[in-house]
Amino acid sequence: MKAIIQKDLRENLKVALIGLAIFSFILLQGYQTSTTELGALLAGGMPEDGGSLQPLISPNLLSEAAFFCAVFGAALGFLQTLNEANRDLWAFLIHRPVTRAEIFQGKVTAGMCLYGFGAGLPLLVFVAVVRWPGHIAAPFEWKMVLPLVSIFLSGLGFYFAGLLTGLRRARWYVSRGFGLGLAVFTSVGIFNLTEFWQTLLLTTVVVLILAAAVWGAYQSGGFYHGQPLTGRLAAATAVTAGCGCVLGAGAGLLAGLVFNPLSDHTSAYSYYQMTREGVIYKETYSDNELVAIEDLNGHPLLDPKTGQNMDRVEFNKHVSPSLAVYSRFKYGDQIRGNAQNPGRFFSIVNVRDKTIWYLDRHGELTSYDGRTRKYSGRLAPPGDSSRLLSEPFLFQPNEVPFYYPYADSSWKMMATARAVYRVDFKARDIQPIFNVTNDDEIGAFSSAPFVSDERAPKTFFLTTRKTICLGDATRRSIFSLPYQPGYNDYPRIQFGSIYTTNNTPITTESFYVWFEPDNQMNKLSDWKMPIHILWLGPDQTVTNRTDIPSIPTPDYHAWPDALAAALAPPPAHLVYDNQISSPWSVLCFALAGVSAVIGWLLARRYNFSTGACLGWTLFIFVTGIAGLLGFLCVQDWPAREPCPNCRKLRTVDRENCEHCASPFPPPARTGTEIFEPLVKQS
Amino acid sequence: MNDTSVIQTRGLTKYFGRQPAVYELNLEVPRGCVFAFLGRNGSGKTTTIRMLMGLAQPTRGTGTIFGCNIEALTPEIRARIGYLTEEHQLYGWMNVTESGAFQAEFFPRWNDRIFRGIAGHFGLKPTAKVKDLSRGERAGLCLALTLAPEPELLMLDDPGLGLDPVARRSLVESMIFLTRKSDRTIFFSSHHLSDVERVADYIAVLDRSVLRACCPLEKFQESVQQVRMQFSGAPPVLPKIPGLLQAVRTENELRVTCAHYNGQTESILRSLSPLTMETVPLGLEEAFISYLGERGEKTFILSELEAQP
Repeated sequence: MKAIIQKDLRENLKVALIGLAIFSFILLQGYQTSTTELGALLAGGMPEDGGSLQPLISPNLLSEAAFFCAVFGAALGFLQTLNEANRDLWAFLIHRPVTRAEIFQGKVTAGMCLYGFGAGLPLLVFVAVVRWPGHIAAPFEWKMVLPLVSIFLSGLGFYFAGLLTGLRRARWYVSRGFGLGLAVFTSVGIFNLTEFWQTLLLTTVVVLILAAAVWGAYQSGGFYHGQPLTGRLAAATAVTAGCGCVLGAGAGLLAGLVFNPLSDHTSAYSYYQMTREGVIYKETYSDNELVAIEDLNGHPLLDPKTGQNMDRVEFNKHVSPSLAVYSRFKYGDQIRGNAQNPGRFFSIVNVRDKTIWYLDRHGELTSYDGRTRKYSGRLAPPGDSSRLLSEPFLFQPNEVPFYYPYADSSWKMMATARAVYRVDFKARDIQPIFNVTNDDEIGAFSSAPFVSDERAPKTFFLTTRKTICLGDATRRSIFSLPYQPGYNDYPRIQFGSIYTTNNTPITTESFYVWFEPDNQMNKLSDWKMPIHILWLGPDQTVTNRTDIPSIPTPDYHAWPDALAAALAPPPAHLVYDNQISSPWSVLCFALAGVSAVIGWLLARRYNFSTGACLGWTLFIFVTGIAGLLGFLCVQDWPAREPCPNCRKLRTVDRENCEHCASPFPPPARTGTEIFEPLVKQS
Repeated sequence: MNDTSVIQTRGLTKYFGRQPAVYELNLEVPRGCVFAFLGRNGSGKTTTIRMLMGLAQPTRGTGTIFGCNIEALTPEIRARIGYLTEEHQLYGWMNVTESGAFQAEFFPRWNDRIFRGIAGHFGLKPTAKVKDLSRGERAGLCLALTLAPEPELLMLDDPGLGLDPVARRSLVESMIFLTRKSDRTIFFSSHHLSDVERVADYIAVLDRSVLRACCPLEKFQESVQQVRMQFSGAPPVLPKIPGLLQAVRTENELRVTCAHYNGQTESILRSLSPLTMETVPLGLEEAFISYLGERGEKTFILSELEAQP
């Protein structure tokens, strides 16, 4: 095995060197982007995304790294087998006194070393550089390395898929590459799953399946027939995944190019709006075109100037500015995000005197000197002497992903779970301006609601488990309402100001508060949970209240969604039943059933054993049409020819006719045969 | 299985699509012989050898080498077999010494003296890259790599393919020298019948995927005979002759080639009342060409064409 490892290392070193050079360039570009972004930020500009400052979690760099690892892994695997694609060289490799499993191990060991050299080494150096103080002016924690580690590991799936592509001897030439489909799932998973262990599990499963398929292919010289059961199962799974990818891409193209242009769009939806006068209207749209603006009694809103139905532009002038927050508690458990979301680690909250202030996912306010790119201290709320650590600030990654330098000031209001603070970045000072009671907790906070008067103190809006409050930086409570109904059923709270028609507020303290039910719960209750609306007068008392019916979210599915639902494996409908409309689910099960029947008939026709017939039928039913295509692609279908005895078609790979059990006839004699028993030479 | 058989197949069949490449092959190769596997291009020789080496899967049928199923040849069995492929493919980036060292890592009975001897015989420089070697030199290196492990069975797939006569002669001489010294078996396919005639004990002939002959070389040459008959006028219509391979008629001559020429054949031919009748001795090449050539009667009508205005 050592000799094979050495041979393959030497044979493919140039591929790894090319990979090393390309990946180093990509990572260097990511580092350069970080430097450029930092410069722009310090100059008062707006960064493209906060994540680029820390290149480890830059979405662009992660996408490029994922693309590179996929291509490099696949190319390395494919080229490693391409060297021996010539059948005589393959024979030279295989015909030696070692098992094929040892040859597989030798080649894979060499391949993985080369992959580690080409992709892993630049990554290690990159992480070391980023980790070293003075290079990146952004928070670092080891968890930030995990997306890149996931991407690196996903390349191993592509490596094995590349090997499989080079090895498979398929009837349909294109289907040789179908193993890549399974590897694609890991890439999709990296950018959609939220936890590292999930991507690790997915990658491990995919790599194991593809490795088993490659191992099986080595046993049989690339053919399906002759592989051990494990290899056959793995090959069938890999090829079926590839068929699924091709099917999905085909369905998407078909829907996009044929069905969508021909179909009649019915993307109608409605929602409520509050005007500055405090009146509720319902806007209805179809294909993003305004169809109607009606009051709650169904009367259309007329433009007083024209006497005609009011148009969208005009109506928007009447709409009250509003702000919505989503009440959630236990932030730490809810702060999740996929690799595409750098904001799950930190957000930029302020840039002052060449110092960048970050709020990290642990609720810590840390600063980095933009000139030295080194850590320059932290700010924390005044600690309770009984606690070792100060209360963390609430980190809302998905709600405040971007930093807006033009709206920045030297101080901000920030909240922990128990208090709101005035954080002065220039003076590096924190002062409390609002506290909740000991048995309460802040569930949503917004420090920059719309401002009705630029000269008025800055306001904040928050919800706790018990109350909904609007306050300002002078510690004044503008209003406080009981959170009724509760945050479990009604987590989304919207509020806004009410104005007069001449753009002057009736009073800056006239508001409305809107309680919106949880969408999932409302759907489960058949949209029977109403929206509660309160109007608050100048003395902060409730002057009016009403309940309006919820507007169901339409179950609109575009053609690609519908086709995807129909072609998806049936178990997906059991898992995601609430996201897939039922008619397409029925079609999916019907198609899977038909596919399974076709599979059964084919298996019977080609005289599979009863176990194989049942196994394939079940496999196809579970995996749907993709399973049937996988079945067709993966098998080495033998020829069929008429039996001279019974005249029925029989497969040529059996010793006897499956219909009449007669053996194959010997070759017809011509009378010119010359045979003589052979004996050992003396 | 016969203990003296190194290779044995039963109903070995290989289909490519709907076409059988090898059909119901029953073969036994005795230990210690030189066995030539003959046939025209596409007759199934290479496919058979690849099946025997476990590199192609039979569609049906079975085979054994040293008693081991050809679909599951163990490393121990492979160590006893030397296999030379027809294109003499090796890793081009290795040099001669590296190729030998690579191969030596695997074969427990590697004999470096043999390797160096054959490499020297073909004039191979130890530092020469494989990709820079001529076809003949590459064949020599392949032979060295195949013989140095001192295999008991040599499987050579058209070893002289593409070689010039000098290189081919070197190859054959090396083969003869090394194999005649011990109880080794050589199974080789070739189109060079002069080489076959020099070294083979037995031949097997594949004709369009079907084994038509398997016998000692002398028996084949004895069985395929040609008879030349002169007639006073146009040769008469030929009656049905068992084992007829070819009959070529000219204006007053009839040449009949048939397998299993015997007394019965002779009496049938004499019934045509030829003026003269003589048996023409055939070399292996002529016998082979007649055996695998176009079957049936042929007439040369050149004179008739010349007579036309």
